[in-house]
Amino acid sequence: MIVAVVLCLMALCDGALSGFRAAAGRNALVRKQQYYVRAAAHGLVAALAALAVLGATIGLTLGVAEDPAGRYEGFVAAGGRMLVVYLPYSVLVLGALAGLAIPRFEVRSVLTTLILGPSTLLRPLIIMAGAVLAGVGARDPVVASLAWLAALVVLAIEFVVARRHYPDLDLPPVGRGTTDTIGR
Amino acid sequence: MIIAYDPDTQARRPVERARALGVFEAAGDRQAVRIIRRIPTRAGPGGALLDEDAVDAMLLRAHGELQRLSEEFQQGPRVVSLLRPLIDLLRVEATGPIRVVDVGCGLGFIIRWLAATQALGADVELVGCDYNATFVAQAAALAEAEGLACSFAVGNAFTLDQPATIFLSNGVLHHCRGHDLESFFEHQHQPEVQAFVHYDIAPTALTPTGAWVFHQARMREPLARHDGVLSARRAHGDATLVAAIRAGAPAFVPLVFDATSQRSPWLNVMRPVLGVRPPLAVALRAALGPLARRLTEYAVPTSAGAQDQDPSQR
Repeated sequence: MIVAVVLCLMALCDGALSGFRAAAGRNALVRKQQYYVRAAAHGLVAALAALAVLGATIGLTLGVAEDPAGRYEGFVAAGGRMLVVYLPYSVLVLGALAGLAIPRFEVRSVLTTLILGPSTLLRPLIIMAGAVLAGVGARDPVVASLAWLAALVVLAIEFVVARRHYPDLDLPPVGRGTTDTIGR
Repeated sequence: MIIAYDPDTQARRPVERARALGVFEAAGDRQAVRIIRRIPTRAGPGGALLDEDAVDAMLLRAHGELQRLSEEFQQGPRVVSLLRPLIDLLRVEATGPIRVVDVGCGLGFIIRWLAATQALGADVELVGCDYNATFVAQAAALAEAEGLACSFAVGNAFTLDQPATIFLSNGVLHHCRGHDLESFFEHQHQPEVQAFVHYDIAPTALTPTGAWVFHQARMREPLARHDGVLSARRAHGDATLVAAIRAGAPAFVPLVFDATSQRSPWLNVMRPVLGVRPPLAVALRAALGPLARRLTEYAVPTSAGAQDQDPSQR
């Protein structure tokens, strides 16, 4: 059960961050904390929906299994293998995010340069690596398939949130503000 | 290559699709060719022209994503760390308003950020300039939406009716090469200008890889992804920039903050070059405090140090 809870918490956290990434670069205002909070909420809701679907699917496969206890053990073992990959990555990223609270802009910049940027690029590979490891060790093909499905669903969240809520740069109507055509 | 302006009037000029494609095909830049092929066109007298509205929309998306990178790399606080001590020094003897002009401001993020935080003081006038009227209109609308005290202008930042006290730019220098780079600094050789601070990508051994990582990880607009990496490759070294300052604006003391040779490539993302009037150079070092040790000063050439006239008269 602990494995499932930890994986769910990770998925929710990843969903909120996916919402943030989907919204980043799509609003050019300076002050936009509320915008990012809403974006994280969009990601969180999408992750909750994804977990509900995956949970229901897992429940269904347990319900129809000839050996429900054996399949359940298979899911737990697969989840444990996923955590081997996901935990170090999560600790690294969450640690870097916590470091952003340090009120020194150069520290924040270095955390971004060294950890947050590269880790975003590696994220799809990390997610798939966890699914591969979970699937490779599973004797039950249903467990392996669901590990792959879970990975694909998690990867899809950012794409879906971006498409649905942040398809383009959000700009205020032009014709306002102080502009001039200049020359001397 | 996808946007052009008349050098005299700064009016937008149409861009022939075939011409733009030809340039990148000749350079073997297939990614750029793919991007241009996707831009809608309109009929022109000599063939298809790139649709200006489509180009502007693409550039706006790219600049929105660039702003995100600026936010992430703390570009606002970086600028303040140098501008605030400089302005504190200028304020002591200022007889008129201190005006900071951002050259090639795009969506005006830095000017708007400075206005939002009032990090330089409420008495400092903040102006953003860009040739692109669409950018300027959006920058002004964004400032208005947040009630920010700053202004934006379409045109040449170096020919403002109200002259600049400090010229600032972010990510502009790599667009200028050879004589254009010298000319960029020469235009700042104006009696009212006390200093300039120009940030651009630091060309370290890790820059091309780092740029690729961040543009892949953070950007969705294909133009932004591609151009960002190209820009990193075009970034000037310290020596090139210092030589251009010496040639174009010899009355200014060239300074490099976080000179590429003295700073870890992991820490150097945007590296500013500065030019300050000689009396300011010593005072700035004192005003910067511990940061001063990251400032590399290059002597003003003796043949040019006493000159303080319009470069066109030299």
